[in-house]
Amino acid sequence: MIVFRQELCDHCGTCVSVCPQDAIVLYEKKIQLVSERCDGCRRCLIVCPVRAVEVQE
Amino acid sequence: MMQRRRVDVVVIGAGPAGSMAAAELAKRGLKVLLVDKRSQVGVPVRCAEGVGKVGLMRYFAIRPQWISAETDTVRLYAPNGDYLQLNQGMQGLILNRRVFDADLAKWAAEAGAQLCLQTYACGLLMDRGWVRGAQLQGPKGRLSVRAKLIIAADGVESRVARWAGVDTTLALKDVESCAQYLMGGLELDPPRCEFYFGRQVAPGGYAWIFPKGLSRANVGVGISGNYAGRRTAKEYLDDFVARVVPGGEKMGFVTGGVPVSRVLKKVYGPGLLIVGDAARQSNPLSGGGIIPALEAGRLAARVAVQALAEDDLSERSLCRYQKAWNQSLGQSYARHYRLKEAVTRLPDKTLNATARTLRATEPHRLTLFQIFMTALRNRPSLILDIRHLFRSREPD
Repeated sequence: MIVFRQELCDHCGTCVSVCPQDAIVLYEKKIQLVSERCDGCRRCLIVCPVRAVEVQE
Repeated sequence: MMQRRRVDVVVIGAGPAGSMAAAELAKRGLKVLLVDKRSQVGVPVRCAEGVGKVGLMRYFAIRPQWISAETDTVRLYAPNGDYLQLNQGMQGLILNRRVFDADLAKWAAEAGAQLCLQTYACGLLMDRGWVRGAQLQGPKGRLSVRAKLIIAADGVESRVARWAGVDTTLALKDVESCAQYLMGGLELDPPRCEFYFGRQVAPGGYAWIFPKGLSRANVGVGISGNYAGRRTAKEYLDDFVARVVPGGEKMGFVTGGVPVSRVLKKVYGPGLLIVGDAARQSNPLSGGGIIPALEAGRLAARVAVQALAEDDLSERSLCRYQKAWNQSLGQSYARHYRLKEAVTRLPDKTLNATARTLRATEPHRLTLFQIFMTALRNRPSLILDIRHLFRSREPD
């Protein structure tokens, strides 16, 4: 399961731009996963400039 | 509590593309709502802030408050540390985008656009595939706005276009994952823009040092999305800073994504126009997005004015914007994309050999074309990668 680390996230939205499922909602200072839409492709994790995304089982 | 409103155009995003479009539309008497999720326009900006002076002058009389630094000197560093210096008289500006962006939004408001901050788009009003308005969330609650046209200017993190059925998802190879420090205590004398290339420095991208005046500089790294799995842009940036500007003082940090993709097949839909980074219109070779954002905002507004006057917001009507974009920057960016694909595959030894060959050339005589031709001589297979550039007509 994809998890965002809010304390590391800089809210740049790079993850949103590569998400094929439109499963990420970015607010001004908060980021949220729409887990029903996520298919676990991990592009968000790969592309994050600070690796504020991780996979948790 | 749900408020309802009706306007001519909703522009989602008050960056350069959105503010430009909103201002041009409002000036012609149209009722424009310009929204942005941020509390303050221009804060933060995720940008190296470099722009060509001549390019910017096509849109504005440049205000001195917009300029952090100015230089006509560029240094391109090969992986081994050799560099080529260009002094071509092409003036570059490093902007203070906090002021620039705020001015553009202010001008849109002064032209008559209603500017609403802290306002998110959370959906579109759709009717049989047509965009009929937007659902917004503001500080006072939900707002449902009917409009003849929506302009999606919502940046690299754009979602509005997707809600209208235009898929703008970026492939990993078509995005640069970037991190940047604002650093103090750095003297760039003479003031110059520096670009560093190489697998170790910035795979699939480059590192930059852009002067910001007052002994400061934007120091950043962009790496291609398809090299970002193992190490992050920030890790590459920290290595770069430790090696190249260790005496500098970190004053600020920002991350960002930059589209470096092909021109989208569709930057419009029925009742929708897409502009700027949301439309992936940034220069795929340099990553520069300010000029294409201004150009797209202007072209979109021009087409929108005509379409609204004809009361025809169909795709057949709005595709005039796509054509206008392709005829403007779009066609040269199609070539820039192929060049990007080829250049990012150049091994370090080719970059080093190119720099070595050209090092003896006088800086004011050194052109980008010459650099490219030298790279070509060092790696003839490059011609196969970029053969499409030499066709007289692009197929797409």
